[in-house]
Amino acid sequence: MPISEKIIKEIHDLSVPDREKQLMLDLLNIEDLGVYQYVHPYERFIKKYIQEMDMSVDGEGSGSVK
Amino acid sequence: MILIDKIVFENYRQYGSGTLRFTTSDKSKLSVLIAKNGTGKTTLLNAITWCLYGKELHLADADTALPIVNESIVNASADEAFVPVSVKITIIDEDHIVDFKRSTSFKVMRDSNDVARVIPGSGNFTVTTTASHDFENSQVCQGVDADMVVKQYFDEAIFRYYFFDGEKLRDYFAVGQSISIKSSIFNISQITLLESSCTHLKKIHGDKNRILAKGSPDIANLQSQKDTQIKSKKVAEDSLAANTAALEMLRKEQADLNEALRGFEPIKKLQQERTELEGNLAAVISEEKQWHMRRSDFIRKYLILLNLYPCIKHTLDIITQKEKDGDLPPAIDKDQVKMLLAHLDEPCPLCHGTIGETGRQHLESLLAKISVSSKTSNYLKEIKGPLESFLEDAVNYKNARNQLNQEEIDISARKEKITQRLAEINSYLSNYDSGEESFDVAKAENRRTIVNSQIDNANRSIGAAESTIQTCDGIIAKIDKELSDAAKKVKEHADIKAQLDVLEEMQKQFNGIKEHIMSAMRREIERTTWDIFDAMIWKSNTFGHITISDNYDVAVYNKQGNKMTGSLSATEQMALAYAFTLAIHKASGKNCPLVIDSPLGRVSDENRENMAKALGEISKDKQLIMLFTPDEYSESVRSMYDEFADVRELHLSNDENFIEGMED
Repeated sequence: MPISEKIIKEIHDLSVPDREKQLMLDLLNIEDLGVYQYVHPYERFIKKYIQEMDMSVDGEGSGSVK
Repeated sequence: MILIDKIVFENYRQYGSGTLRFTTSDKSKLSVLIAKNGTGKTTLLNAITWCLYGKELHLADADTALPIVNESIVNASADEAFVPVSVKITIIDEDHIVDFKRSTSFKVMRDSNDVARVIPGSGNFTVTTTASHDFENSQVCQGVDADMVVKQYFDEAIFRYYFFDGEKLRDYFAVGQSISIKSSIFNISQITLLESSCTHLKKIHGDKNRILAKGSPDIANLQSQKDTQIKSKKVAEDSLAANTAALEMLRKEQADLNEALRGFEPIKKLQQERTELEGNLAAVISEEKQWHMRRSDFIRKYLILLNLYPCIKHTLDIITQKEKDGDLPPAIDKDQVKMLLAHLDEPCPLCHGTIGETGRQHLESLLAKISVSSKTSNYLKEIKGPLESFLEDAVNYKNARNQLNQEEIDISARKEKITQRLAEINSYLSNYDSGEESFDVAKAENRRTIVNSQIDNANRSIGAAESTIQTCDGIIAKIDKELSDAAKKVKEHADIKAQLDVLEEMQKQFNGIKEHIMSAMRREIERTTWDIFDAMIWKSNTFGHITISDNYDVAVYNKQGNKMTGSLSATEQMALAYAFTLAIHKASGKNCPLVIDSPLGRVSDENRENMAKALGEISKDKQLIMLFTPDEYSESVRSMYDEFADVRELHLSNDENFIEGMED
C-alpha cells in the first residue's frame, strides 16, 4: 500500500533538507513493506543519509540535519 | 472514485450461479436491491467479505452455518462429484479494472441413505489487474501480494465501514467501540505506519545507546603509556651509545697497555703466561657453562625416571613372569575362542562339524586359561625393550650422578688453579718495582686492572640497554596495536553518536506528523459528521454541534451547548452513525463504495425522508449499493430514488433454492 498522500504532504511541508525528507519516506517504505527484520534496512538508510550529509558538509559547508 | 462493477457467483449459497451488475454511470451511482427478508441481502454482504477476506463476517453464528456451496446443486450431484464454488468482484478504479476472485470446491459424499454431505477442498484467491487501455496485459497475483491489493482497497481492519448492516450502525457507538474506531482511523490514515516506525526507531536508539554505555577507550592513557616507553627507550639508546663509545676507547687502551706490558723485557715471560692463562680461564668458564646445562638435563631426566621406577619395574616383572609361564605369545588366540563361543550354532570353521555342548564347555575352560589375548601379548612385547632401557638408565643413576659431580670438582679445581696463578701474576705486576726504568709496570698494571673492570661494566651496561630497548619495542608495538583498535572504536562511537542524532530527529518528526495528521483528521471528521447529521435529521432547532474527542468518542450538543448524546432517539443515533461512517470515508482520502443492508432500518417520518435524501445526495459522488426490504423501500423513498437509481428486485425461486433477478 503506497504511503498516503497526507503523510507525503506533511513530510514535504516540513522545513528540513530534502535529504531528510527522503530518509523519512525511505523508513516509512520499509514499514509499509512489513519487513520483519527492520534493523539492517533502517541502519542502511540512516548511514547512507549521514554519509551524504558528511559529503555535503565537506563539499558545500552545509547540510545540517536540524 | 472506486466502483463495484459486478459480482459473479458460481454455486454460492442461494445466489447459485449468475451475475449482479451495479450502475457505474456518471449520472447515478446508486444501486438499489429490493428483497424480502431471507432472500439474500445479508448473504450478499457475506459473499463480498468471503471473496475479499475468505470469511463470511456477517453470519449470525459461523459455527452452525451451512457450507457456502448451494445446497440444491449438492443434492443434485453424484457421489464423489466435485462442485466448484466461487465469487468474483470486479471493481473499476479510474483507468484500471481489478478482479478479486476466490474459489474453492466441495466433494460430494453420499451416505447409505443417499443423503449428500460435502467435504470442503482447498481454496484459491487471485487478483487480476488490467489497465483499461491494455486489455492484453493483465497482472495476476496470489497469496500475500493478492492480500496487499485487497488491503489497498478494502482493508479488513475497517471492513465495517465499507459493508455494513444499517440496523447495526448504532452498535458502532457501543461501550468500548471508540478504541476500535480510533484504531481504524489510525489504519485509514496510516498513523500505524508512523507509530510502528517510531517504535522501531526507539528500539534501535536503545540498542545503540547500550553500545555507547560500554565506554569509550582511553586513548590519552594509552598515549601516555607509549610516551613513557619511548622515554625509557631513548634513555637506554643513549646509554647504549655512550657505553659503546666508551667500550671502544677502553678496548683501545687495554690493547695499548697489553702491548706495552708485552714489550717490556723483564716481565715478557710473565705477560705471555698471563695471556695463556686468561685464554685457559675463558675455556674453563665455557666448559663450566656446558656442565651447568648438562646438569639441568640430568635433573629433568632422573626426576621423571626415578618417580616412575616402581611402575616400570612392576610392569617388567609381570611381562617376565608371563614369558616364563609361556603366556607370551599365547598358544591359542583368545579372540578366536571368544568368536567360536559367540557362534556356537554355526559349523566349526576347521572341521565343519557341530561344536555341541561338550565343545562349548571345552572352549569356556580354554578361555579361562588364556590370560592374555594375542593383541595384548604383542603390545607387551613391544614395550618390553623400552622399559628395560629405562630401568637400565635408572640403575645407572648413581654412576651418572657421581660422574657429573666429579666433572664439577675437576672444572672447579682447574678454574681455581688458573685464577690463583692469575692473581699471583697480577699482584706481582701490580707491585713490580721498575726502578730506574722509564716504563712503570705497576702503574700500567693497575691501570689495566681498572680498564678491564670498566670494560666489564661497559659490557654489562650495553647488555642491559639492549635488553631495555628490546622490551620497550615490544611494549610500544603492543600499545600501537591497542591505539589502532581504540581509534577504530572511537570512530565507531562517533558514527553511532551521529546515528543517534538522526534516530532522535526522525522520531521527533514522525511524532510531529502523527499529531498533526491525527488532529487534522479529527477536525475533518468532526466537521463532516456534523454536516451529514444535520442534513439527515428533520429537527432544525435542537442540535448545535458535534465534538469528537482525541479518543474518538462522539458527543452531540444542543443549541444551548449542553451535551445530549444520551438523549438521542434510535433514529438519531442511526443518523449519527451514518454521518460518522461517511465522515471517516471522506477523511480516508479513498472514495470507496458503500454496501448497506437495511439502510433506513426502522427510521420513520421526516427523518426517513431526510436520511434517504442525504444518502441520495451522497450517491452523486460515491457509489452506494443499498439493500432494502419491500416495506423499507416505501413510497416516499421510491419516489425519491426511482428517477435516478438502478433498482432491481430479487426473489426466491419457487423451490426456495435460488435467488432470481440476476443476470445469467
